[in-house]
Amino acid sequence: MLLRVFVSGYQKINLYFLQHSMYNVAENENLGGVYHAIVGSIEQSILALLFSIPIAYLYALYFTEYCTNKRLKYISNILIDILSSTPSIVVALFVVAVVFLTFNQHFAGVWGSVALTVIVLPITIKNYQSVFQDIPKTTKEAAYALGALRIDVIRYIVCPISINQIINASFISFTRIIGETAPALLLIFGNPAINNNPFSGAQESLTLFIFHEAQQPYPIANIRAWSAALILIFIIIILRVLMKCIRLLIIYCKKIYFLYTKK
Amino acid sequence: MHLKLYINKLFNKLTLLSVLLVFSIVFLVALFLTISSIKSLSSNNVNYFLYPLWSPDNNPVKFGISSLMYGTIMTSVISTTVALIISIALSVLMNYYLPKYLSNIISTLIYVMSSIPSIIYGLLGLLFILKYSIQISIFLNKYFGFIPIFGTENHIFGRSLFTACIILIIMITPIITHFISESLFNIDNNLIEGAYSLGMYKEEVIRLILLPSVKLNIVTGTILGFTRAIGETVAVSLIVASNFSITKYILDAKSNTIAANIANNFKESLTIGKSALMSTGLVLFIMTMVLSIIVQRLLHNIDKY
Repeated sequence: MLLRVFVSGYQKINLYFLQHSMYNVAENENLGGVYHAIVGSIEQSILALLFSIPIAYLYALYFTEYCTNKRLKYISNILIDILSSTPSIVVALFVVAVVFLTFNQHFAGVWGSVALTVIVLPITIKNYQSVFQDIPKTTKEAAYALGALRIDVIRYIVCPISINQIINASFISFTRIIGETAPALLLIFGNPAINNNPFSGAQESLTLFIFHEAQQPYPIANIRAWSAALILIFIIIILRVLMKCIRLLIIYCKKIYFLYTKK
Repeated sequence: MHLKLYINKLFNKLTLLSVLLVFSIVFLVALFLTISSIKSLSSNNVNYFLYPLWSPDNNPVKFGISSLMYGTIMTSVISTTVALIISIALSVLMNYYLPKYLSNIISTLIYVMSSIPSIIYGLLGLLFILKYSIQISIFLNKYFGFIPIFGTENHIFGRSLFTACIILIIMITPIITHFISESLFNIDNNLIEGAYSLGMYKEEVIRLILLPSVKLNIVTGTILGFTRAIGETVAVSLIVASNFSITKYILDAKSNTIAANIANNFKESLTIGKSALMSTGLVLFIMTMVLSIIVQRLLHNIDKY
């Protein structure tokens, strides 16, 4: 099936397709591109990551370092489970109810990223919690025995040890966010022109572009959808490769750091 | 030093704040969906749970969830059942019959399949699987038409519950397979060797010892897949025919689900229409909430043993 995406998608991918938008292009013309969709997708995902990572980090820290109440931990597990099994369309409806119906805001990319934040929070939190639980207890206890404060333990032991896996988990949530469609469908609205500003005006996202083009009756529009799908897969693969690269880079930096500090 | 103590305390408060934020999101979802759906439910003229059609924006406001509910439960039950059978077979095959390198290939394939976004499955379903699904439907109707569910009313196939089920099976199978094969992998090795030393055949070991001991895990994985199937939006909304009818023929092009209805109708709806869609969203939220609480209880029980 992946092969089918490649076979149908490769024929449209060229520099023109990557650098142009769908502004003033009829659906049955052999013109247009996905530049606006790629820009919108990446901006919204990065915004959602910026919102979700600090919250998830602090949440996971609370439940691994501070919380001693077993009942609260159980409740947190249940709530996170509920949130992670909630369909993305329901989360999108919730954000619509809050943002558009009660506060009367206009369509913008940010609202899409707010919904994406809510969708990706439970996944990120679960990953971070498992990362923090893997840190050896003896190291932490040794620090406490030396008289370190909680904040010191977190800053000098928990953060440096876990940074690698934290970056890993963040990239996993990035790949998860970039493929979400339902929030884009209800909140971002779609826009054939290039809109670089996610805080005002309707934007486009890759998934929304695919959704729209796939429903057109013209074969040329369908080919555009295949190509956009191929680009989406490429972006996900690139993110995975980037993740590995950053990991290697951090390990290398740590080695150099230790070499210099020893001397 | 005093400053450091102060920062220490502040950081504790900050983490607590984020916990409160996440906790409140769950309740806010329920609260806002309820508030915004009250408006349409109070102006509804027919029974919400029995009326099959959907016209909330017309003057006598009439809408009901029964046909949507039927489509959702029908697709998810059929697809979860088939996916469960496939994934039990696949995970047993992977763990006990195939050589190591082949099972590694299959597990990486499953990993790749579960990381593909659902919109791509929808695209494949609409532009690639639909053609073959029509042919399969015609074949099934021609030769197995005497079975009630394979009958037809108007010989229009394609955008049916059957096609939606095929897509859902492709999407769910990796999830359930991953769950079951992981639990099979974690079984105590002494149990298997003890069974072999008693002189059991491989088939008997699997059927009588291994599968019963992961019974709870299988149920949990199935419910997880079922929750995913209920809430699947985009892939299904590209395929379904979006009409509101309760049909016992799954091959006919009469299909709709709650999530697909929200995705397809939201832009055209006016105020009451949007509010009515919110109420279906609330129903969906309650269903997934109940299922996930059941999963959590089951996982709790598994940990106890």
